[in-house]
Amino acid sequence: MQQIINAIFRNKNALIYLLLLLFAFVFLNNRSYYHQTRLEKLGLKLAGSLWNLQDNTANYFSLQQQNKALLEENRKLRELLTAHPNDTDSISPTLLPGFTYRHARVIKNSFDQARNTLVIDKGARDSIRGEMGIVGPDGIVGIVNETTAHYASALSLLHADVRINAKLKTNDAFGSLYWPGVEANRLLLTNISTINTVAVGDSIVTGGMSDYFPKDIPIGKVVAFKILPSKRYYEIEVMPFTNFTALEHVYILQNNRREELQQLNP
Amino acid sequence: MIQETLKITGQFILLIVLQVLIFSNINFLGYINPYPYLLFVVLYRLDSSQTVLLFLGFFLGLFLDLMLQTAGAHTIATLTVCFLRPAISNFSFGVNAENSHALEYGTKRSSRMIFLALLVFTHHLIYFSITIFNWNAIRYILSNTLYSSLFTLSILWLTLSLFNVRR
Repeated sequence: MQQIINAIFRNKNALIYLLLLLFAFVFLNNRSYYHQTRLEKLGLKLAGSLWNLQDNTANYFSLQQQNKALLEENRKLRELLTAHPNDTDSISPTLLPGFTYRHARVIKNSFDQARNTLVIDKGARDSIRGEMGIVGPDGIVGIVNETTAHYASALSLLHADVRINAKLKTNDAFGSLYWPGVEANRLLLTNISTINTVAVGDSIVTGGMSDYFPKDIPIGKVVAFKILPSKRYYEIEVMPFTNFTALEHVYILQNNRREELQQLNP
Repeated sequence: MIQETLKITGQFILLIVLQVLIFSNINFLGYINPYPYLLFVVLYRLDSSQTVLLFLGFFLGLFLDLMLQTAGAHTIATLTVCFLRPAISNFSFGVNAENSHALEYGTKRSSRMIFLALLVFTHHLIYFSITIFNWNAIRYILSNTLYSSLFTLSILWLTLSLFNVRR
């Protein structure tokens, strides 16, 4: 014990230096958005490779389950194919032109914080850029935020600052969907005018009024709704189809006509 | 002791004021500014407590960061230079590093120059690395460091020669 205390006293200047340096970096991080993003990027680079290693091992043991999930997805896609045998015209909503799909694996995922993020194993080298939409086999998942050469971090749909344009599939009434926090399987859809009808069990899909997602990608279904005191808008509780606590394979959507869209709407 | 404390406080305030009001607004050739507030770290007695110097350096940088609207580069650079100062003075003065007046007499002019140059260059390198914070701009960091260091060094050298009474 005495020796430990002696060692601390002998190196007290170095310890004080490191402590003050830590303060200075926290200060830097809080004061400058530029430094914040650069530091985040550095962290992502380091953590990405670490998580990838961990995920590779864990992945091996869940192969059977994943196979099942992929088979299930295949089955659904086949069902769709047989339902629309000659559906190759460009008006088909889910095959809107201008979106490129890329596959990626989630290597880090959180769902227990107010602002949840994911890390995926594709990055700038795989043509992933910021602000691309992410969808899973069951519906939308999030939006890409930062990228490094081999990894990208994304805002999960379970992120307090994410707002998604969504609509009711039955009557196309659109509103804004966000996560109020707490539960990973409850989202809120607001700004739907009361002149529309809503029923429990209705499907909620993307509205297509943002650059991130094409329209009619499934999000979830209505589990409860109420009319706000102003009597003008509904507040609709939505249960997402995607299970955010078990994400594995996702697709990144690249909007090939984004620049064109942004010229119209700067 | 009280006299020494007063002297340090005076230097601390005066150097911050001069840096904020004058030296950070020079913009020589558009972007080169000297940082002669480092004189504080230079003049702090070599035989005084380094722990105190660490805190003083931290607050010197912090005040400058707050007043100059920089993010935290002055704090990190000044703090690091304060931490490295014993190593730098040992390297440049050798056995004379114990001498509290090493900067005024009893040492070779070349050792004093090396001491100043190392201190200033280390500080500026860290300062510009933190400010720019981008590995791809390494050439810009280095050129900025070089020009600003030369500027600061000449100001420090002039100031020291002016106030150095030969004994």
